[in-house]
Amino acid sequence: MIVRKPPFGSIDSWEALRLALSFYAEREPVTVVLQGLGALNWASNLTPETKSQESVARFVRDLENFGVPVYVVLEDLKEAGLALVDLATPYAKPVRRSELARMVASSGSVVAI
Amino acid sequence: MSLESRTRAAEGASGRLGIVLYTGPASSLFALGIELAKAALSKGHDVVIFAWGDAVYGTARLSQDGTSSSDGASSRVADLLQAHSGRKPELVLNVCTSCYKTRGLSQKHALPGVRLGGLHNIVEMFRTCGRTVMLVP
Repeated sequence: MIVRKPPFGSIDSWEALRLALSFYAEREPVTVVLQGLGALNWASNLTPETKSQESVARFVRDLENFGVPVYVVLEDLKEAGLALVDLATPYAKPVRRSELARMVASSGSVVAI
Repeated sequence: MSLESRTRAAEGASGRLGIVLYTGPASSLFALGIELAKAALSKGHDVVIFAWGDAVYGTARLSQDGTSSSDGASSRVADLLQAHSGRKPELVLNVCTSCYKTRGLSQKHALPGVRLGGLHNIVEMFRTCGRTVMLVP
């Protein structure tokens, strides 16, 4: 599951993370990759609730608690002006864009939202 | 499961198309999804559709007098459901219940033949359909 949308502006990333957890709940192997502005879903100090938008914080907690592999594209994090220390938790592993292609190639199905 | 039944299941799955709709009924992606479903059905494939997010508006009757901007699309969906009700190839239309509730919709708004489901229906699509197309921008 590649999440490309940020946790603000639309509910798309919220729905994408909800879907990732649905795969987990149905005992299907799933890996989450936060790409592009999607990397911001794992950033700390975001408060979308101030604009009455659903927060993805609960999904961040659930993904970590359930052990669903989560990766954040390093280059996209940097483009957003963030570093690894700015992540909500160190659970999300950094991955380079070049590695993302390999991950996609080795996956049975890829969902990108 | 025996090898024979696994083979039959695989053959059945290979002929079934899954379509996930996410954008509202006025969007070109929603229209594309419906046209894709029609084309697949006309070729004899079973089709499973899951409506999620704003796409659920296209699976409900929002007005009594046809003044809702979604009525055109939902009428096309209703016609498609009626045409394939109880017939082969099969058309199944599931919708996200929580997306319905978030938008103040319930079973009483749903078009005849629409089933209230959840994201587990998407997981099931990946398991049982030969191909699944997610029309998400």
